[in-house]
Amino acid sequence: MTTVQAPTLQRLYELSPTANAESRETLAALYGHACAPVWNHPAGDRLQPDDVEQLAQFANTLKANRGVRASQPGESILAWAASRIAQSPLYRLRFGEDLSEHGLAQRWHELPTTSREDVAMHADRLTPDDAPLERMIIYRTAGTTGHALLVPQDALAVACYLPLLNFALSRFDVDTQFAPGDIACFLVGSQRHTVTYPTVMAGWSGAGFCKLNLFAEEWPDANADSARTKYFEHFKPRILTGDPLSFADMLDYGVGGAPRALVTTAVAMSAALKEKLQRHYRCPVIDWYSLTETGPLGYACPQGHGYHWLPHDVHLETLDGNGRPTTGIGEITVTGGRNPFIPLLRYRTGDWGRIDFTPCSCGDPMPRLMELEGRSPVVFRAANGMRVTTQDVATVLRRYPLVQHRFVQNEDGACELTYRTLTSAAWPRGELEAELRALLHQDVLLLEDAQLGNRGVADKVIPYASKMIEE
Amino acid sequence: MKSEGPLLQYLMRRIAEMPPDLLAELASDAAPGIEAGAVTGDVLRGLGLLNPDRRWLESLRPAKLDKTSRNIIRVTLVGGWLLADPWFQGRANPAQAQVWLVTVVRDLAAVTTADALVKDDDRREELARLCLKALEFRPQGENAKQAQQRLESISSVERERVIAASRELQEAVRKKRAEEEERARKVREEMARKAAEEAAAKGTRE
Repeated sequence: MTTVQAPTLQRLYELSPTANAESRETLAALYGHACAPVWNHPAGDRLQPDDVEQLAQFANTLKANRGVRASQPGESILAWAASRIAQSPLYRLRFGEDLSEHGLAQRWHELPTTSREDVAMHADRLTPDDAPLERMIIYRTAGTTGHALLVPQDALAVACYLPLLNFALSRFDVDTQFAPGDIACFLVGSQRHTVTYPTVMAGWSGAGFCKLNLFAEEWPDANADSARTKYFEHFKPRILTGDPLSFADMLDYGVGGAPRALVTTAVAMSAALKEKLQRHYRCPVIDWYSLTETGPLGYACPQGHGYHWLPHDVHLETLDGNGRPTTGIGEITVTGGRNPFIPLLRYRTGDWGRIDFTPCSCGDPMPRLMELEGRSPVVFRAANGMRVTTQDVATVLRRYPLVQHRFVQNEDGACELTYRTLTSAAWPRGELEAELRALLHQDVLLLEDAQLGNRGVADKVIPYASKMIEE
Repeated sequence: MKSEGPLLQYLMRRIAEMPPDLLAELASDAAPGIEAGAVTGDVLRGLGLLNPDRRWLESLRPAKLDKTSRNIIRVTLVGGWLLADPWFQGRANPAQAQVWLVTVVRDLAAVTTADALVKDDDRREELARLCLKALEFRPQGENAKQAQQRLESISSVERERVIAASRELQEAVRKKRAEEEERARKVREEMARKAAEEAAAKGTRE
């Protein structure tokens, strides 16, 4: 969550418990540079030495377990699923108490599916009996698929993003060997409010990492452009991660240092922007498919043949509108992963695509997600002409108990929020109205719809849409 | 129920003909009466058991009698009377006979009375069938499956066992639900607590 108090350097050290002296120097440099932006949030990888060992094992297993996959899950996924059903109260109720691996294999395609709503409303019963609560951390997301979520996570599971990212980068010949004095990555945002912090990552051998906001108000002096540019130039992060909007702003502001790769979320990036970024930064722009609930799932094939199924420890399938397996375009459905609190079992992501099991000429034997329906970036305009991103709206919405929502800006600029609430209890609707008014400089019409998203396939909820024609 | 036993009606008649003297007042410190321990010990020795369980036999002659202990002892006497039938001589395993008297008869005493065992047709049949089953006999003219089905259909002990098992199951389910609810509460508390803290750094956007 956004905090207004700047974190102290000491607190940042504490949150990176395995950082050595050189890493700490790197962190101090990122933190205290004269051109550093305003840091507003304490964060670190929180890994303990045991976690770092397990992270290295995960990286090795990831590389060693690439291979062909089938529409039916493999033995390790079935064993994992059987054990999670046995441990999760919600799954015991839904799947039955005595479902063996054999039973799972026999009935796999008939098993019930799960969804964001299960995470939103039943995380307390989804969490397995053997999940170590003391390790729990929480991510909040309003998500681009329209449900407000508090997602319990584990620091080690989150750290596994790095080996997954490293693998994708290595496929583009980007060097992922880091040292404590290196600056590995800047995660770049460009929105009204977002959390920002510098840290060092044990998963990158203690190299530096920053989460930044390009917004002018976040930078120290009157000439924000200059500070921003100098900061990037000084640290020259090897990788930049972000989304199409923030990368487009990066181009506009002329910042970036000399990255070896740009990694962008699977929010659809136009071919024109991608080409412009590649030309300007002279490095690959790698599409990345990841969800808060699932973690990374795919990376764009270096030869442009869809997205390769990335983690070895998940099973992907596609389901049609009636929940039946399809070889055509269907809802991407995930089983497996590393989150000890939210074991995903036939979890419907809300994203659509097709899985191609045929070999790819790029050399990665894992199947590919094709025709992945990238969630198009949606931009709203406040009444004063300022740009408002979906993340800006999400930041407001996630503070309220909404299960699902649809935020639409009409041709004339008027905005409507249709929502379904998590609870029948009273909640501060007036405060939500006031926050949205302050964000968009106009009134927003709030409409409650108790059945939003529950009307079947025809009622697929598009959480953000703008009908305004952008010049 | 490996071997064929006597006709069931034969054993039921034996029970019905139990001498009223044996169902007279029991001996205790307070008053003289039937010495159930001595009587039962004689029955077991008659079947060939050299050393019947002395402590158990002593327990059949308590210092004080209450309603429950009186019924248990009297039911034991009814069981003993049945075992004293000549048919069992040389056929019944005396150790098994003692176990039956100690355990099964006690279970039966928890759900019925000695008088009912003697006077009621169904209870007489139940006692006879339980006795044969414990000694691994089946009633003459019945196969093992028929004998078991008939016993289950009339057995108050079996009925009580099923009810108790059902109660235990319900209790186990209730306990499990309570544990699940407690765990869910802890998860909710942890989520609320951790939601106010910073999460871990993530390398990419989602």
